[in-house]
Amino acid sequence: MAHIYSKEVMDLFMNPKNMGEIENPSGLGKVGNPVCGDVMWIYLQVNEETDIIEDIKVKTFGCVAAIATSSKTTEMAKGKTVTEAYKITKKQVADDLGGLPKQKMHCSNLAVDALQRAIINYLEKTGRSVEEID
Amino acid sequence: MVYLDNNASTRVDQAVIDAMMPYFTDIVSPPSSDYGHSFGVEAKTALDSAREIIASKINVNPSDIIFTSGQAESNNFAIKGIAYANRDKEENLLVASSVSHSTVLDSLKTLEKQGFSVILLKVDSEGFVDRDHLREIVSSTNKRPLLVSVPHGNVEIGTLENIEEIASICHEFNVPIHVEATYSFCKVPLDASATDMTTITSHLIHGPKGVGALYIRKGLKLQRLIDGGLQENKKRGGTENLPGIVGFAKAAELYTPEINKITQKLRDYLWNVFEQKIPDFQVTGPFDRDKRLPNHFSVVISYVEGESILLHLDILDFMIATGSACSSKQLKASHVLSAIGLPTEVSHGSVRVGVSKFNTQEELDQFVNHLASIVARLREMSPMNAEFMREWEEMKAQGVVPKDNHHHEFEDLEE
Repeated sequence: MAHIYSKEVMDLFMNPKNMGEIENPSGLGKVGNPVCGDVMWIYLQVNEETDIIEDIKVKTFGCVAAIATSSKTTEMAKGKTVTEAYKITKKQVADDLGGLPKQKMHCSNLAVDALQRAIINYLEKTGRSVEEID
Repeated sequence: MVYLDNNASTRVDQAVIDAMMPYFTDIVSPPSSDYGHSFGVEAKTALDSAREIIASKINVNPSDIIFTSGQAESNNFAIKGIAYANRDKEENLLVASSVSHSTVLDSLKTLEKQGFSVILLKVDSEGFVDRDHLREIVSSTNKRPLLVSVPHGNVEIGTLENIEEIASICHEFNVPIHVEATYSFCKVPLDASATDMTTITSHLIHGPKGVGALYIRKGLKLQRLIDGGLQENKKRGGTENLPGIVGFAKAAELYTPEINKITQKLRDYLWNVFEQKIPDFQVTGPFDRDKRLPNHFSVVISYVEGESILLHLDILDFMIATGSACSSKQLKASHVLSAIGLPTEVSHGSVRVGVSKFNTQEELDQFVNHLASIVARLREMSPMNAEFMREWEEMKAQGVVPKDNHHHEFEDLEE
């Protein structure tokens, strides 16, 4: 197969990870808009004693890169504390995927944005602000 | 591999390759005058005969056919040629349908930068040129267009324009018309003698790539774009691509009305199966099947994105096309889908299929079955659904939609 995407991207596109939603999530982050063609909702299940992300799910509308980056981001965040997960960068996501085509870099931005928004939502729900972990 | 992108290009017929071969290996001379050596004369005979075959397909005189390197060159020549020939005139307006091919629209962009004026004609929701708008522009007494360019068959949405009607509106006011007939050539009858210029191409009818033609009405003045020889009635310098031209003529000869019956039957079969098996889609372009290219089917499927569909199908060895913004280099929605009024959030789900005589009903059954499960899978992981879109429409109405802030920086990538 001759695709512009790396093997890692294609593998995750074909077999996406952590797709779905969590009922009554500890945190929810919604980003994107249908005009751009990417919409991502990330759901967190966080252990409030340890701040560890015990479960994470994502719903994604978008292209191959959008599906792969949302999978990769959730895989990277799972098992981390919210403080650690908040520090995941867009570049790390793209690098871990063996790179992304230049014009698809924003897809990785979007997944990280959704994760950060979900973490902020969790912190707000537990009476904290992002400054406390950043 | 099941190739269902036959309005992008087609497989070359074996009989076409066989017809071309002698002009690669034996008759290697460029076509010469009747007084040249025997290879040159044989080449000239082949060139003349090809020109006659092509001309007869669109009902024009062979001497008015110019062979080119294909659609892009023919369209550039038609539009820039007439603009440059009229450079010194006060009237400098060029007009085209807003669903014209990019080779037409980009030629116009270049001319606009050079000081020409350009107007794009409005189209209706099925891609047909707005007759009132056309009439208003060509009848204007103070700014009469140098040319109106209209596609006969639209590659993205299949719209088959009534050229006779458009030409008669233009000619009523003595405005010449150029018809882009790349996608309709041999598929739908066209009397190009009712037009002033017509573009046709080889590789959509199982002929080779890199060869096409432009019909130019006798007496119409164009400035040539390629200088340096007396070839093609002094209108295009350069040695003729004889193997390509011979292949083009052979392909045109082989593309009979029978083939259109086959492809139309396959297309209609696909359309019916699609309606049975794919929930929530809308046809793009004319719903009346007789007003479409016979081998063309195009839709937008709700709540899913075209590039994801395309690559899932590709992995299963099925090849189709999409007009989704995400699959274009500039990440912009197709100008055709925008021109017919389809919002970007809807055109993301664009899928189009072009069938050929090499396809079978079994392939189309497999294709739709695969597509149905891909769509179901993508929808399952997507936050978008009917409720999402209802809320989105409400937000749009209230003017509170989130900002589209991460695409604009890529707009110039390809330019």
